[in-house]
Formats: sequence, C-alpha cells, structure tokens
Amino acid sequence: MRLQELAMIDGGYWAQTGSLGVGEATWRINMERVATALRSPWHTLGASYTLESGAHLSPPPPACSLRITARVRLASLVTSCPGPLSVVYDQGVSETSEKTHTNNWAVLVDTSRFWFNYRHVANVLSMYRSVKRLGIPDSQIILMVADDMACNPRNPRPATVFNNAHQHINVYGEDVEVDYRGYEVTVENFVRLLTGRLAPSTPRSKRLLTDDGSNILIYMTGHGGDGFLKFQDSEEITNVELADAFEQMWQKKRYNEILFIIDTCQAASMYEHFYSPNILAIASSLVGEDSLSHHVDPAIGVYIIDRFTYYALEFLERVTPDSKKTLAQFLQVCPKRVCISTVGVRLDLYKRDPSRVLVTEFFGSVRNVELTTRVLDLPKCGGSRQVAVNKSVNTRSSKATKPLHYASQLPLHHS
Amino acid sequence: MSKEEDNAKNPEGAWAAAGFAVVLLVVGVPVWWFTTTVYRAQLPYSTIETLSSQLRHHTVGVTIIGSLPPSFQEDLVKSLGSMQSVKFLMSQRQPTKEERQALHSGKTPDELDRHMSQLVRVAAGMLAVVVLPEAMEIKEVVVGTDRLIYIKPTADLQVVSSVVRNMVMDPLASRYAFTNRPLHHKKEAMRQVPTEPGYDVTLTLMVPEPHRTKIEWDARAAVTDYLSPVVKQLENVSKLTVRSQVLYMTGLSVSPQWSEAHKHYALPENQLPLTINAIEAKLGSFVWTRPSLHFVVYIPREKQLPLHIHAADGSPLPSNSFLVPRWGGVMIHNVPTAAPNVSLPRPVTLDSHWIMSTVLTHLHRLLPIPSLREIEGVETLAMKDSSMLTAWQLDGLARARVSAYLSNIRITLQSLCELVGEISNMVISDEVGGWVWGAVEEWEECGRATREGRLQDATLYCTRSFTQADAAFFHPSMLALLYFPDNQKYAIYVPLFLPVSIPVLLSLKMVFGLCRKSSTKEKSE
Repeated sequence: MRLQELAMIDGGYWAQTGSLGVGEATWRINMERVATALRSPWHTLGASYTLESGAHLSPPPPACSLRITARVRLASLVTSCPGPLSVVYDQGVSETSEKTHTNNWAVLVDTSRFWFNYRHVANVLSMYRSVKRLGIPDSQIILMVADDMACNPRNPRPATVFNNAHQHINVYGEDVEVDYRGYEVTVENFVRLLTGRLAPSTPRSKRLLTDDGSNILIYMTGHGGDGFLKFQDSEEITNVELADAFEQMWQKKRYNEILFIIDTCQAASMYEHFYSPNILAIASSLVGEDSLSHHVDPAIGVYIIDRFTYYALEFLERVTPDSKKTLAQFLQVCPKRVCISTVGVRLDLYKRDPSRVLVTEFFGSVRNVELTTRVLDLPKCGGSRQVAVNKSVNTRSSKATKPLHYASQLPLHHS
Repeated sequence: MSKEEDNAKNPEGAWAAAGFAVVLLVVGVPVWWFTTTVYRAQLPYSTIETLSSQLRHHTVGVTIIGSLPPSFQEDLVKSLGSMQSVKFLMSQRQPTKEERQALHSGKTPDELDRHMSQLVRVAAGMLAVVVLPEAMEIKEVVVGTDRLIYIKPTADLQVVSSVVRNMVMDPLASRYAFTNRPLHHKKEAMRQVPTEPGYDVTLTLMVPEPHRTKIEWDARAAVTDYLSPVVKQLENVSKLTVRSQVLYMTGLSVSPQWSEAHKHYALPENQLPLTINAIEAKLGSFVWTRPSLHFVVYIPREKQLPLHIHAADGSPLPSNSFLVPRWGGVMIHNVPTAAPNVSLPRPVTLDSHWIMSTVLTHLHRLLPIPSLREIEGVETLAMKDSSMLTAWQLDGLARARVSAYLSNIRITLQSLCELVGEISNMVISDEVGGWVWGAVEEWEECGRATREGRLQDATLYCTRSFTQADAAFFHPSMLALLYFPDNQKYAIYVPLFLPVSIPVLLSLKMVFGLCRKSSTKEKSE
C-alpha cells in the first residue's frame, strides 16, 4: 500500500464495496502513517479496527478498499492486495435528518420450493439475517419460506444454509422463526397478509400489525416473468394485484413508507403498476432481463444464491444499527458489472431523497426515544401496604418460607 | 342429394333444432345467469360518499358563573372560535346563595374546589367557569378536579382561552385526529398510540441477575393501588388489560461508562434507541392482535450499579426513564449496591410509588391525556388521594378519541366502498353488509351526539361504529383475489359456450330458411 495514493483518494465517494481479498486477514496497517496521510492525529482514527475475514469465490479484485466512516474512524480494513489501496469515505447523512416512522416491519417472501431453488431460500434468509441483526424483532418479521432447505435430506450440512460455497455466512443462523412455510406460501395468504384480511383465528405472529407510523421492508424472491411472480409452481401474483394490495394498505393507513425489493427475472415489471405514495421499489433486473445467480456450490450441486442478494447481503453485513449508510448507497450495491442484470429503481413515488434516508430506517429498528423530564406528582396510594423506599439490605420476607421439595420424577399411579 | 333438400324433406330435424334452441334460451340462459350472479348486499353508498362533507364538531357548553365584564365573554368566544372542530356554547348565570357562601368560605384552592364541585354539577362534556371574588389569594386561573375553572375577574383573557382550549382537547391529539396522515417530522405527534378500542398493557420487571438480587415487589398491589383506578375510569373510553411479568436473566444490552463526577454509571442518551430491540422478542408472546403497551422496569446488573441515564448535555436525568413512542416506557430502577460478604441472593425491595408514577406519566403521554403543564400562571388541582384522572382530562381524552375515530371510520368505509365499486363481482355477504349499515348508522348517531355535546353517548357510538367498520373492511371475503377479473370471464365463457351455441345457431338459421321456403311455396301455390 502506498500512502500517497491513499491520501489522494481521500474523500472519494463511496463506490467500491466488497473488495475483499482471498486469504488470511493478518495484514497490518501502520496507523501512524495512515494518520499522517489523512493529516489528523492517529488516535482520532480510533485505536481499534476490525479486520474482516472471509473470502470470495471470485478472484481477488485488483483494488482493495479501506473504509473510513464520517467520523474518521477506522471501521474496517481489508487484506493485502497487489493493487493500490483506496480509501472509501462513508459520508453518511447529517445527524439532523429526522425519522418519520415509529416502528419497523419486514415481510420476506421466498416463493419457490424444491431443491434446485435452494438459492431463493438462501436469498430470503440473507435478508432475514440482516434485518434481525439490525434489530427488527422476530415479532415484527413475517418470514414466508416455501421450502425447508436447511433440513432437506439432500443438504450435506444439515441445519445450515450458506451464502457462498466457502461457508462464509450461515444465513440460517441459530434461530429462525418462519411464519408461513411450505404450502402456506400462497398468493392468497400473501395478499391477505398485506391487506390484513385474514381469518379471525390467525395468530398474531402471522399478521402484519402495522400502523400509519410503520416502515415496511418487503423483500420477494422467486421465479418471475413480465408482470408476475410465480408462487410454488402453481400460481402467480401479478403486478396489478400487488399494486392494488399496496393501495389498500395505504388507504387504511397501514404503512408510512415501504421499501420494496424484488430479486427475480424481469423484476422491474413487478413495480410498474404501483400507484400508492411513499414506496421505494428496487428490482434486481429490468424488464426483458434475467436475474442471475451468483455461483454453484459443488457440495450442494445447485446455485446457492442470486447475485443481487449476494451483494446486498455483503453490503448489509457492514451496516451496524447506528451506521449512517444511506439508501442511496444501498441502491449502488450491485453495479451491472457484478450483477450482469441492471438493477431497476423506482423513485417517483418516494418523496424523500434516498441519500438522506438511512438504511437502518428500513432494515433496522432504531426507535425514537423521549427522555422523561418530569414525572407526575402522584399521592402515595395503598396506605400501609406501601413499602419504604429501598430498605433493602437484610429485610426478611414476612411470609414464612415454604419448605422446598423435589417433585416426583415419574408420574406414579396409585391404584 | 344436397343437404338442404334432405333437410327440406325432413321437417322433424328442423323441429328438433328449434327445440334445442328453445331449451337453450329458456332454460340454459336463466340457469347460467342465476348461478353465476354474485350476491351483493345493498350498501349505503350515497351516505358513505357524503360522510366527509358532513359537518362534525364537538359542542362544548361553557357556563360562566358570576359576573364578568360583557366584553370579556365576547372576547372569550372570539378567541375560542378559532379552534377547529369545537363549537362553544356560552351561557352565564349568577351564583346561587350556597355557591356564594362556598366561594367565600374556601380559603385554599383545594378546599374551594371540594366545596364547589359538590354544589355545581357539570354534565360530562361541559365546562363551567367560576368567577372568584377578587380578594382571594390564589392564582389567577385555577383548574379544579371536576369540570370547573376558577378565574379571577382580572385574569388574562389569552390564558383563560388557552386553558379552555387545552382542556377541551389535547392540541396534538386534535391535529392527529384531523389530518389524514401522521404529522411528519414531529416527534411528539408520533408518540400517540393508534386509536383502538383496547390496549394490552404489560408491566415487565427485568432482573438480569436473579442469583444476586432477589426482588421483592408486589406488582399486583402496585397495580391495584395506582393503575386499576385509572383503568376503571378509562373503561368507557378504551379498555386497558393490565398484565405483569418478571423476566429473569435478561438484561438491556447497554454499555454504560463510569462517571467519576457523578459517582455512578452513565448511560448516554444515544444508546437508548437500540436498547429495546434486543428485549422485544422476549417481552411475551402476544395473543391478542390489539396494540400493546409495554412498561419495563429494569434492575441494572450488579457491576453497573447505580445506573443513570444521561441526557445529551451530559447531565443525569432525574426521572431515569424514557418513553418510546407508541410502544411504552422503560425505567431504570437502581437498587443499593451489595454490602461486602452479604449472602446471595440478597433481597431487595422496589419503590412502587416511583415505578407506578413513571408508568402513569408514560401512559398519560401515550394516550395522550390533556394537561395544562405548559401554560404559565395556571394552577391545576389533582386528585388528592389517588392516581385518578380528573373529570375534564377524561372528557378531553374522550373528545380527541371520538374525533380520531370519526375520521378513521370515514376513511375505512370510503375505501371499502371504492373497493367494492371497482370489483363488480365481489360478493358482499349479509354479514359485511350488516356491519357497514351498522357502522354508518352509529357514525351518524355519534355525529349527532357530538353536535349536541353528549360526550359519553358519542364515545359509545363511535367505538361500536369503529369496530363494525373495521370488521367489514378486514373481512376475509373482501379480497379482490378471490374473484375473477371481468376480462378473464371471456376466457372462461367463450370455450364453454361456443361449442354449444354454434351448432344451435347454425341449425336455427336452417330452420328459418325452411320456414321462409315453406311460406314462399304456399304463396306460389
């Protein structure tokens, strides 16, 4: 690495991502020299930095990147590479940008089943992993997975689903809460979920209980065509049906903003008919294009992830709940040279500028909090039962303690 | 021999063809028609369309007891007139003999209020302004626990008018009710819980180290003492179901710093937005689908004691608690640090009063219950021996909720009508139809009640209307997907009817030809 180059590129716009090299992450950086190059005392760079380990299947790219966040903190550093090292500035958004939502929901849908569609399950689990890691609780994630790849008898590594052949990230994770699975993943159930027109007996975990302050991330993957997305080989949802469902949600004030992401062939056709406000739609491919898968895992024998989601996951892995990465950056995750298909974006329904919207406004769950400055002045209620404040040490409970005994281990039947 | 000649010699064939045609037209078409028409209950479309244009405002009767300069009353009406959606009906009367006595006998505001509220009965939804004798030594404007406002003749008109306005409806709640969209970029406006008939309130005590601290806290008694009276008061407005739970071995994932200046662990404000995410999944399996409110009491870990929230400016927050909009509140309850060599787990008692005061503070702000805290120079009397709400606070809350309900119902019904209108073959069952009719009727009743100032009736009607409108809107049969789009009908009917109707039509043509031929034959003969 030559530091002159480093300083020259200083301030460049966030553009290259995911240029990890192959091999052990043992490369060391001379912090003092970086600091000199950036003309700031080295301790402001942060004494700690994390080395991102892990490898790609693709040959090591010619350039490596060193990422520095807006606060000039060395966030991640990548391994040595033959080419020049570039400094990537993560400019982020100003602190003043205000959130317009109060809670976050995610609807993640994989519509295809069977072993050869392993990649779609990996896609949807990649998103699940990211939103969960960034803080959306399971109670607010609706995960629809049409097939169980982790426990498929053909899976050589049971209970795992990986995003690449080197088993870099196990997207199945430790606890996955699937809300709709197998044959429950139908167009009808999906539209019912969105519009809220579910049978009264539907449990809370299968409902999208959003309100007018909810930001919803809707991610869909499967096999699609011009104007439809296939569900389970037997039916399909059309772009008109989807647009109408969103309109119903809007009319009933069931969302504040929607980030719609779809990774399928001719994906852009799915958002063509949207007409409800506050929807930002991202599609992995334009109409007439195929969306391509990333690579095969020889051990599994099928393609294991799609390109768009692969790079999206790679981006999301570097997002932390308090990161300042914006949606504008997310829109750049899969340039045509890596995605092969063209990523389509529909911005006309979305009022805000994506470069001012944080990724965590959809993928995370950063709450507004209000500090309580004044507590109500209430009279003491309950009279004698009121216990004095914190007379804690050595207060004996007035109740006599009941002797404890072991429960019988086996149910005995006395005749 | 050609076919036609064959037919001509075979009139039975013609009769048969004509017979088929008759059967097809007389039996087939009506059967097809009646079996494929969808059942659509009649809905009050025209009424629903006019819902938005219908005038809806609350009427609040204000009685002025005592004498004020006539210009004061006029000016008060004028300055109150600017309030959206509320009309004030002013009246004035002189105090009765007993009232005058009470006014003069009362020395402190509390005493005065106690006497007066027994004498002056003000109906729900109304207010009374009592003019005090000038000599009394209390603040210019005092708001009583019932629906009484005490003012001195010298009181500032602007103060009185803003007091009345804030009592009638929380300003944010009224804006929330009258705009169709949430007020963006306004943190306070997003705080309010969605207007629903009921809420699940869960009190959670989080004890991350039960092996070290043994918490002794009678949550049931605390709830009965503080929360239950309020819940009971709110019963008519919205049903709160209170539950409590203890979560062991679960802590907030925070990393506080030791603050040498304050001798405690400081939890900076910027760590708070992410604290509840980790625990949210553990807060309980939700059975009900209505909104839930969570109040979390957190006992810090031993190595983080005492823990205090620090505001952005670095000063510790006295309340040590924060509110999460539409979600609930979190409070950090410090316990004394363990003495050396104490046997573990050591018993620790919690301060019910502090916990429940904070819970109620948060609850007040989430609902929101109107308060006059922000207005200068006003004394607000609170209930003396309980945590209960005052009558005017309940009225204000009910009024704001009625407004919110009314606009919600209107949106729901209009959206439903639009949907039904767009999909012409969507079944409208009697059940759905009944709900819609019911919702519209109750809506109108509610509108009438608000106009007449009957607040309790209005609340009842609109809760019922809201429930019915929502039930109709979210009915599982109201799904466009279940019904064929019109253009797909042709794809179904054409292959079905063409093979049947083409031979029939062709033979009909033949029958007509035969008839014509026979008639010309008759003529020529």
